[in-house]
Amino acid sequence: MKNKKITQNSGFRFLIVIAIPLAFFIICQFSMSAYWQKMITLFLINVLLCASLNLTNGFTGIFSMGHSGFMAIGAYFTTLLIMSSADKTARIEGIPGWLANVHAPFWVALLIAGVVALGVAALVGSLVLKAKGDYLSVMTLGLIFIIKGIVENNDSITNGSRGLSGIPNKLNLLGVLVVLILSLFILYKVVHSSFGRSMLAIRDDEAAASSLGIHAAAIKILSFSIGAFFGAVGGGLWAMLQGTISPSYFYLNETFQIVEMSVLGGMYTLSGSFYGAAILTFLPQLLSNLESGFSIGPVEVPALYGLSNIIMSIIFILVIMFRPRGVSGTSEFITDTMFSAKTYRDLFHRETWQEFADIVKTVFTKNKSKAEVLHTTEKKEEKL
Amino acid sequence: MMKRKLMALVLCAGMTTALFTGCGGSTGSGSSAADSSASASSAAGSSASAGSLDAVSTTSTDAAASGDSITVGCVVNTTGQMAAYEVPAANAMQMAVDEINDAGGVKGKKINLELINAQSDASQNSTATTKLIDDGAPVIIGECESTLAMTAGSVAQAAGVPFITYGATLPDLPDRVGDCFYMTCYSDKVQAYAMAEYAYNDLGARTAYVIEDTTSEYTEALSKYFKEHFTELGGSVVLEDSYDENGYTDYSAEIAKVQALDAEPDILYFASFSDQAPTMLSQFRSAGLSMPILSGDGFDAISIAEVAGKDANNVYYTTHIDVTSTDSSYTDFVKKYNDLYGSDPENAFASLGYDTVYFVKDVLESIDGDITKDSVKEAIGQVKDFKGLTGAISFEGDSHVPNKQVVIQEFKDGGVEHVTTIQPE
Repeated sequence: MKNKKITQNSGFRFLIVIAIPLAFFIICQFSMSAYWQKMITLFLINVLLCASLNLTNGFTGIFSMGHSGFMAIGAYFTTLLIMSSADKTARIEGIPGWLANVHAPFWVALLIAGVVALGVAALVGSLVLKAKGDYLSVMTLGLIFIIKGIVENNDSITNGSRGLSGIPNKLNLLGVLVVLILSLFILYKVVHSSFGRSMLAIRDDEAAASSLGIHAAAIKILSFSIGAFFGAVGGGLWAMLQGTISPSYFYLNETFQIVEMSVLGGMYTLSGSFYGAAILTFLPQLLSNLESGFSIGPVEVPALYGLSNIIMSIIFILVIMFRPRGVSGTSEFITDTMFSAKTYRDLFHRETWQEFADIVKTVFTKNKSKAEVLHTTEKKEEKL
Repeated sequence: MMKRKLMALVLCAGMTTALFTGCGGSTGSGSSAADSSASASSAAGSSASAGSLDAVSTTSTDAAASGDSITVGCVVNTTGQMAAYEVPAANAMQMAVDEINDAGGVKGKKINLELINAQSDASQNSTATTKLIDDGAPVIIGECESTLAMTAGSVAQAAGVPFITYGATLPDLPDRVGDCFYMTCYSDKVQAYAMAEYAYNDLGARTAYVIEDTTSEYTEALSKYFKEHFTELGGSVVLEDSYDENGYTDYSAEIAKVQALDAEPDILYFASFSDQAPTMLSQFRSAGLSMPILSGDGFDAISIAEVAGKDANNVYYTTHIDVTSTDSSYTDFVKKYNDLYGSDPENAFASLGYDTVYFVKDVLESIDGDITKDSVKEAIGQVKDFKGLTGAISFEGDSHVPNKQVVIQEFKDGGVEHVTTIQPE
């Protein structure tokens, strides 16, 4: 009998990728503590940030380090558009009248923020994307310094290095989830279009791709800009979640964190962003509980500040050593399941569930038969 | 290929279960509060390596389980950029809580300090504060960096939980965050004003040069308020300069501008941090500029005097506590800190954190009924005549910033000497 893997069964995939997580998010929204709601919302935002970075870093091979710059653009534009004029006048000294009075619903604000970032990325991209490899990374890093400088020095618009507080939060966990799924769907369609295949071709061999008529420069700029768009949307959501922003929040730390997520989760896939974001959102929180000291049986481990950083770096090194392409490798398990029509179509076929049941059954019987085999070989050895 | 998929699958499943187990604990709010406070207090026991506190930690665990303890939330950044400032504070706060619990707690209840390390990261500061609020802390203390304090404070403000910072000194923080935000340290305005007065009245300075590090709002505020008050008093700022780079090391351009002035200014005011100080001082001194140099509590680091040696002479700075004090309350504190953590308190934030815990104790003791966020907020304004190591703390009227003593110290041949203590009206 040809053995079909359980991971290929649509029923199973639907359960593990869509039904269970969705049920979980809904439970979380309605019955969990504010802390967990916040953590999970942060996770969802991190997935978006990471997936949008993967588009440039993984799929197009432009190793950008400038993502927190686009986040900053998104965060500031969103904040300035959704804050009430009274709040703005009270919090920003010397704010121009037109800026104080301009106002937009949050989803318009997010879109505007995204479009601005897209424009900035297209402008910067057309200058920077001529460079390759390390040079390109350093140049995108420069983008963060420039944006931070602009934000810090325009006190009457951004309130400078003092930052802004009291940002209204317009989206709950499920709202962020909707934004994330919409964004991922667009990214998924981009990656699986002819445009997406051109991106891959450029990444693997730019000269060869150009010789086949692919306009490398345009495609690179466009993919960089699309990444920036979603980076800014993520930044806007981030600002709404945290309630306060400051130029120092969108600096090297933040950018490296997104790059880490991307590399750890697997930057050559969109699904990888789920693994990367999960590890880097939840693990430091769980590990920081260990820092104040704990005991394993009779062994007392004293308080050791920085322990979580050490463990995180060890995990990072191990993943890079044994899975250089990140946790997801090349598997698009999550997004393929979410966005392919086949998953949903198969759910209405009886065979899917029949197969699911069969596989579950064989998994158990297989173990049994293995045990039997083992048993008989042991007996044979005894005879010998 | 198959193997990879399987691995991805296993990880995915693991993630989901981890999420479930993680959240499962917090859905039943009652039990989870007890769990986490239990773990926090047992951790507290082991962190105080003296060993004598083990008994305390077990009793407080039991107490937490039966609802007989008061959770005090604490957000600190014991790793990352702010670690050097906040580890001493975290140590001193833990020490203060253990002392209070040893002495019988607050009205027979133990204080359970739930301390979370937010790793100098914005989102972690925000989520840590949310967690403390979830765990039912009626008051939260912590932070010595103004932007992070704003983030954590705003979260607490939204939930109506009083937030007391021991080290964030930006004067308009309470205005920006809201009415739940309190400071137990003086503001930058107070310290810069005090230094301006000292310069004008005691040093007899009439002209000043001010250089400012624009990478931080703290140094920006120092310079702003110093200039403001110095000119109010009748002095004049003859030259201003700034740099906006962490680790800026070559001050020759700034020095040349000072030397090009018609007359040397009477004093120099450095609104900068301790890590740049030795380089700055050496370069200005070797250029022959020997007038007094003044600064804020960013210069409160003995390492400056140790590294710069004689170049650090004639340098005056404002700080929170007189480290040369022979007052027994302070020497006992230093001795106890040294016994527990193997060194004298590294900076003034240790004393500030220690004072803040005792201030919270007084607040809690003044409450007659239930201890809730509202009753705590009510009581904070009522506490008068609290005497701490760093001076008296009380909030008069609607003020959320105490009018505290400002200590002025100077470096002398590699050491520190107390100059004067100013009590602002």
